Amino acid sequence: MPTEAISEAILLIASVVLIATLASALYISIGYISGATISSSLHNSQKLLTQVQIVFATNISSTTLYVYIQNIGEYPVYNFALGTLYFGLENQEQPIGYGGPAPSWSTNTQVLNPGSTAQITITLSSSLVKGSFYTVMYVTPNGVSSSYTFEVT
Amino acid sequence: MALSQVAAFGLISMIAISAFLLIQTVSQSAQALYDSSLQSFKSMQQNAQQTLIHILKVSVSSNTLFVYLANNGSTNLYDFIHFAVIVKYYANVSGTPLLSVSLYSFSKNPSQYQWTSVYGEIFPHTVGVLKIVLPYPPYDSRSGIVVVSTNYGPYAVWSGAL
Repeated sequence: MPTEAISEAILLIASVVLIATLASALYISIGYISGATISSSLHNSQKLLTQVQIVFATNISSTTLYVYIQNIGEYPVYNFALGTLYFGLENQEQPIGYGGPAPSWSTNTQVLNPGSTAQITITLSSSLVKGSFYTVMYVTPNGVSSSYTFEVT
Repeated sequence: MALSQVAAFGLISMIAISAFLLIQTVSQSAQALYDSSLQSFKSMQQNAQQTLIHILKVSVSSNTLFVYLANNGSTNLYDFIHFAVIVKYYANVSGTPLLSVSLYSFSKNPSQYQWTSVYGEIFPHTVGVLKIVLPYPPYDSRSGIVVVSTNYGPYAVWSGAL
């Protein structure tokens, strides 16, 4: 009888230890999955509510352009300068770096709030060709884009 | 049934139920968040689809532009602070034409680089007048461009001699 009780106690302790190990592993996994699910949902929600549009783009000299981007969504575009800008002749756009030597782009906007409009200045290393069509495209850091094609005058 | 078996079964059942509840709660929260955003997105799309503006004409008086804006959609235009108004024109700076491209901000009492809606809110199927104050008068009959973009997204462009 005492032997049985000792065996039962050992089995009980072993069960509790094993189940505790299993439970901790399970809860850690659920924690990761939950975090990823919420994060993914948040990302998709933010992306859904992020909308930008290039309202106007024009050249002010043969190597300088102004581009105006309006936030028509409901979510701010944080780190606006971390977005990607593409520019070039229509269907031949190339990415342009932020700041630094030409070709480059710059802006004073850090956060583009809903309803706000940012001005981007593009400085080129070679002259634009009059009468040709150029396309500018801006992609926000969370992957929402807008493009605009215009004729150089 | 031995005590250890009962305890093990009980603990495992408890863990399984709590894990299930936890996953369900997280899943419902994520879905609720996405559903809420989807509703806002649909509302944004609907407003954009129902907004339609046209610039009927632009007149100049010294350094002030009057833009006659027709609201041909079914949304009321009133959130002017979130509009984008851009003017590209040749300014007459001491008799010399100087290209000016600027974004104008909304103000109830506009000064240079600002604009206002003369009659306030622009209702559907009416024509509003936007008063834009330029930094300098336009250079004699040079071409200019006026862009007015609503807070919902749709915009209108006018180009012609100013």
